[in-house]
Amino acid sequence: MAELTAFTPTTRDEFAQLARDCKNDFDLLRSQGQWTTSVYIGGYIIEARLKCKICELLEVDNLPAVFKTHNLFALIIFAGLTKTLKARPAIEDNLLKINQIHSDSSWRYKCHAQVHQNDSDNLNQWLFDPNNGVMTWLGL
Amino acid sequence: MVGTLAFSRTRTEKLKRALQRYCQQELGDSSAFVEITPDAEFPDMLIVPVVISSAFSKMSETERQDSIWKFLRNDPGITRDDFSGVSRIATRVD
Repeated sequence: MAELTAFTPTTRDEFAQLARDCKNDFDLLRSQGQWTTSVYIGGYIIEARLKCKICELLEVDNLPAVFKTHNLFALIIFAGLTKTLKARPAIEDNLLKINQIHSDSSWRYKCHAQVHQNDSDNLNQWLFDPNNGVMTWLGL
Repeated sequence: MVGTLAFSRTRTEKLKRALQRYCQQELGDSSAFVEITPDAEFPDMLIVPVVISSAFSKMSETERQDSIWKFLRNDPGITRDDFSGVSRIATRVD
């Protein structure tokens, strides 16, 4: 029951900064050819941004602990963005694809490999495509 | 058991059949297997279809995702509403 009323120590502003930090790390890793780690970190850009948006929606400084999840689709629901996302089918598809990659814990344990460049490039497009990128839609 | 609040047996069967069509028509794998499972963290809110096919061994993780969603979005046998509550589609090679 305590979990229902607890807050995480991370603030709304820290989640906003974390999203920007993860984007910088994602770009830096890709520029250095560190494709595998870039895939692992890419989904955290969305996760941090959505947690910031939940704080904004609820007008709280810290994220309530009940929203501690890595599930991007659940965070979309909690951030009140379901209907808005449904109206943008191509972006919704990209979010569903990213959610699968982000949910796949095996990325934590993969060694660096050139073959993951394709995955990193696809993820980059799903995140930042000028028309249908999830982060283009969410904003940073 | 799939969450009872949002997911009817009819709709999960429809999803399953669409993914089986994907396996046969796109992967050419008639022995592929499709499971519709509740999301481990949000079992009454979200579902996770799992597609298991040896044909995935030739595809990267993101190629699988592009291939599946491209097929499903063009499949006349299923609508966007049928995907409500699907939070992702997992793939596995067996």
